[in-house]
Amino acid sequence: MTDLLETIRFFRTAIAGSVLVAVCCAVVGVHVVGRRIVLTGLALPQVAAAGIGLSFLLSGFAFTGEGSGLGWLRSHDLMALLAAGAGAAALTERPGRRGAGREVRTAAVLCLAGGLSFLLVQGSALGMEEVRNIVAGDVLGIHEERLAQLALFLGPVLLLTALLHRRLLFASFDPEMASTLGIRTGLHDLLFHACLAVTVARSVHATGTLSSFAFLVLPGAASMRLFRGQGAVFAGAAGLAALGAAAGFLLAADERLDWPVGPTATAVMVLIFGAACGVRWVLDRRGGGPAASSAPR
Amino acid sequence: MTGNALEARALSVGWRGRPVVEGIDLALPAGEALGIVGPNGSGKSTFLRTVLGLLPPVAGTLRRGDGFRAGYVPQTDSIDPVFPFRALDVVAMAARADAILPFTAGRERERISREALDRVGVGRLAGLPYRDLSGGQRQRVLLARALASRPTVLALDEPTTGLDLEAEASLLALLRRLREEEGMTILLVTHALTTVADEATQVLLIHGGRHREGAVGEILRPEVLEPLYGMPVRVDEVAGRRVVTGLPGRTA
Repeated sequence: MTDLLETIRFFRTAIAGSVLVAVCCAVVGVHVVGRRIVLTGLALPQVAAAGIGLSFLLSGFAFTGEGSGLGWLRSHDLMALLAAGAGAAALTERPGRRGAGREVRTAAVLCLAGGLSFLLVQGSALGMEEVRNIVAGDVLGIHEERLAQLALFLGPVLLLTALLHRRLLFASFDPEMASTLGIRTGLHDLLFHACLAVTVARSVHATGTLSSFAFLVLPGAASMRLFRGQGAVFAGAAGLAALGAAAGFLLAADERLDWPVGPTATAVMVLIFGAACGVRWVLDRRGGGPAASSAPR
Repeated sequence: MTGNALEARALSVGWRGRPVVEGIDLALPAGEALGIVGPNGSGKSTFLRTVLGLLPPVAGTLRRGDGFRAGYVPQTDSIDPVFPFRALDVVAMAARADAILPFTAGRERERISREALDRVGVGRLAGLPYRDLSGGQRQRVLLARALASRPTVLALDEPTTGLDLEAEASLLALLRRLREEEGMTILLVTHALTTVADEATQVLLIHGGRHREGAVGEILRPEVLEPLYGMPVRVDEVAGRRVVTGLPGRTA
């Protein structure tokens, strides 16, 4: 117990950063699961990773050096954000229009970005060490200044999605009715994809591609199995994500294991999702099935 | 709403500037019901979407009456049940849709939503997941959602599809009550001629790019329907209700 408290005290900034990233991914991820754009949720972290890879590659060229005016090309965060923004814009599709063509296009982007993120980093001085960081993340590298940066970007995303969650859901659940009532569904789509791009870009650099994707999808999917009603689903997703991220961190930080944080948190989140599926299965078997009521059918 | 709820002059509707149906002229007084009938793919839903402002007219003019406020009931299978909304959440989407922030109008939204569910006879389903409801129950929840938006015009897209006989009769009776007791204008898209024969006061009949519009008694006659459908059609009265039957394979 003392060891655990000591670990929490020592890593409190990193734990807070990883929980913040997980909660933000989960809240935005409820919309990702609800809109059935999980494949986009897989592709965007890879696109952001390719942006980081490009920044590594460009760091080796003199034209991006100090005083050139192109120093921003070396910024991992900025390049990840630009890449994720471009990816979100390219993969944007109005909800309700599902088709094999769109999925194939998303898969092609995923493959291209996944390949590029490896190839671009290969040319950098640190090589495969950077690849490992992109995949597994650099959670332990979240110090106070980076935590403040994360909060600066992810705080507004959380605030925006919390304030507009009704309209964002309405615009994706039934865009035609929403438009009929004067809700600007195009604007809400744009806002959602902007939130998604910012979340993915910041989370990939902090926790890696695998963990970003896992926390974008699994907490929302688990919460939808456990809870009913929109407020409960969002709160549940945030809570499960915080639990998964914190538990994963503490497990990885155990000196007997010494595992990488991102993959460990991902594994814990998968276990939580599995448990949620089990609970739903038990609840359904105990009579929580389709509406049995005397109301008109 | 008084006067005409809807007026169309030489109206063409379609997608991306390409007309699907051209030259529609109609005037629908407030409180009446327009049946929009035709086979699948004929342009019924395109006309309805144009009226609702979801698509721009390709040509001609469309004037909505003063105070026009539409409540839309889409086809039940057009809504993805993946999200575990409760029936109350679905209805609350449209109640006080003008209030942007979640903490404004929360109680009023819930009150309006519960009233709307009670009004369509499914108040006891408020807490149940929408995706677990039967087709008829979902249709009523969507109708409650449309009513929660306080509409003057209620637009329904194939509302009786997939409903059993009892659920269909009950839904149509409810629509009749809304029109007769509350003066609501109804726009009813369906492929069933018999449904509009009973429920509508006017008909817009679309078939193969051609159309006819007018009062029910004027349009639902064999001499009007047979050239449009290319087969003999009988219009009978059974138990005081008009029944339209197509007779394929026979000579007109």
